[in-house]
Amino acid sequence: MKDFLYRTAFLLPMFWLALIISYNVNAEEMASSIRMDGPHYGDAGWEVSAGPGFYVFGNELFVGGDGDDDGDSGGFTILADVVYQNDNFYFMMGDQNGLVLGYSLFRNNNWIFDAVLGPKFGRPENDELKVLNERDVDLHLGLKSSWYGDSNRLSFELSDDITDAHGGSIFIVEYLHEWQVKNWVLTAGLGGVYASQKMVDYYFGVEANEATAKFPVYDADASHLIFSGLTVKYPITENWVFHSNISFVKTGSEVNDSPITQNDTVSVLRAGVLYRF
Amino acid sequence: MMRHFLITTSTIMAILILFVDGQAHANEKSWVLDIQPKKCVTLRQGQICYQDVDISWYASINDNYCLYIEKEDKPVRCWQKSTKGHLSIEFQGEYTQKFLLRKEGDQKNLASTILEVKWVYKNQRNLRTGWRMF
Repeated sequence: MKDFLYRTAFLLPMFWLALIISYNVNAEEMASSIRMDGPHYGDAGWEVSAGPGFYVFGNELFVGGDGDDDGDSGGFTILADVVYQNDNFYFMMGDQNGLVLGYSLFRNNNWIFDAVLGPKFGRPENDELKVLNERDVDLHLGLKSSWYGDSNRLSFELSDDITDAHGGSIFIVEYLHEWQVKNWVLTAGLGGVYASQKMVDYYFGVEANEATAKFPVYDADASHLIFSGLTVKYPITENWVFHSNISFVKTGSEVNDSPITQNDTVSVLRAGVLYRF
Repeated sequence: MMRHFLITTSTIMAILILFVDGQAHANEKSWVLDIQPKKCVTLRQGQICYQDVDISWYASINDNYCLYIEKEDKPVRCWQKSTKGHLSIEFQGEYTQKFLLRKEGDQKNLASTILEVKWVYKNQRNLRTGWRMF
């Protein structure tokens, strides 16, 4: 019932708004990366980029993160950006998109309405948290609506976990805006997440059968978080791109009050070079 | 004696040929136009590419010359009574451009060079139009 209310509250008005606007807006063929990086406007095939990089956590969310007492940590990583599309079907994997399987149910030049499948959250294991029961990575199936402008994109997504992990729901709204400064391409993002009680309690709650002195029983309610970020890309050659991203996440009180979290603001910096295959 | 005569004659002929050939090249009208760097790379096809470029030209004949971009009527710059010139500009363009050297008031291209616009990611430009359901 709760999930149904979410859908009614958020998705149906968006759907009708999309229909109305689509009759009045004609997009020109644009070269913005924000439009072409996505899975919706392009020929069938792969677009694959990957390369070495590093990451630095300003703060880590969970107690016992790899870093020092403040949660700072970092290391080397592989940066990757993969998009495959074939007519209405698409697959995406990357720092910005996560892992997504999608199917476009209908579209016009500006609006897309997709069915999406992909993981949303998984709690990392570390030496301190290993005393608690493991939490599985979830897998969400849902609906996503995206509006593409000349150099911006607004998207809404509502999805449910279809595994036995928690069975909860999540609603995500995200706005991206792109600028080109000389040959640098900058993309700023701002968004919010509302996660249901089942989902927040599964990842941030502490059950009676796993509670310890350090991690007492904690029942979490539904919560929200807000996020923002900036991505910078620069074409070094025809095959190599410098890629950098910094993101900030501010979690809500139900997450902050959990005994297994140590920071209410998480920041991550990633940078590296991607080779376009 | 005969052999010595033939060798001497051959040597003189070779020197004469080289001299005449050199004179011919010296009198040949020539123009050279160059641009550095020759490539501008943008992230995605269709985006404006920005590149600081140095354009230089040389001519064997002192005259009034103008630098043009292909398909544009107005010259980028003209030089009076010169045999060489240099120009530093910031190129801004979506497509590969051809630069041309012409005599002032003449449409004949004396020399040309190309600045290629390349990109990392192709812009497929395959926007689907109209509503599609399933």
